[in-house]
Amino acid sequence: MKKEILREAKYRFNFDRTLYVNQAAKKAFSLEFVEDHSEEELATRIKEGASDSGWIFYFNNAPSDGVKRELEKVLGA
Amino acid sequence: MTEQEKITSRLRQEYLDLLPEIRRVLAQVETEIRFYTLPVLHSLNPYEKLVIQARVKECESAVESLRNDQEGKIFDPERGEDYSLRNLPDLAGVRILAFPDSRLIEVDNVLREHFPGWLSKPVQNENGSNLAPKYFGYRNKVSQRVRGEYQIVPMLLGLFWEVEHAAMYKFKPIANSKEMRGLRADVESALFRFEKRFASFVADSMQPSSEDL
Repeated sequence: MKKEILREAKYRFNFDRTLYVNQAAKKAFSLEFVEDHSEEELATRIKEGASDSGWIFYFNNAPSDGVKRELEKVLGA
Repeated sequence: MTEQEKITSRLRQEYLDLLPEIRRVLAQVETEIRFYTLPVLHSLNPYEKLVIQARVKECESAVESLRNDQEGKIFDPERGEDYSLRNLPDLAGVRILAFPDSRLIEVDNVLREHFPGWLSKPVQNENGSNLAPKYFGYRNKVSQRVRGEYQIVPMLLGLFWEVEHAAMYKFKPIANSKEMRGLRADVESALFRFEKRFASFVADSMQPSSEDL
């Protein structure tokens, strides 16, 4: 179950943005990405190392820098 | 003003610009649907129902719909000018509530003849099963900017949605929770099966029995 995988990895669902967010790891998965990718793919992405330079967003369509900036403001630095 | 607020403000302005056309499209589509379904209305049995409702999508609802189409529910500030409410198919919407299912199918067939070019996008449940036929398209003589939409909904399901949507809109986190989504699916499934089964009972009871032959 994808939701179980995300929950165990301490991702919480942000209802306003429909994102699964891990504040500590500074990583977020869009609902669309989670729905359209396999459990294996999801687990692999969760295990990927965090970035030193800010948030990592896993979207079906790569978000622009503008979207990343806006989301970072909402999710916190 | 933030980038998000700028985009939202421009869309609100666009809405005001489109509103007279939205109203005209709605008047056209609603009137046509009432006219084309009149023979069905006049042939209803006492227990059967056909109700037609029309609504202009509200401004904030339209902006939110457009925003909700984006991953992360956020407008991309780098393509702010690309967003347009004209991309929404349901600014002018008509809902036809029909009971029982046989009347829904009859209305669907009648309207398909008169809206032949409109695209089908049925309302689906979480499992991808079709719950209600839905179509959208242009009435070019009225507007080439605003599309109309109509959906034909099993009446019990439609009445449930009226109550459920209004209540859940105020409590979105709860509405989207696993438990509420499950409960909603249970209700929809039960009402859908009830309407289908009722229609088949009626059809069976209309069959002449062997004693009548």
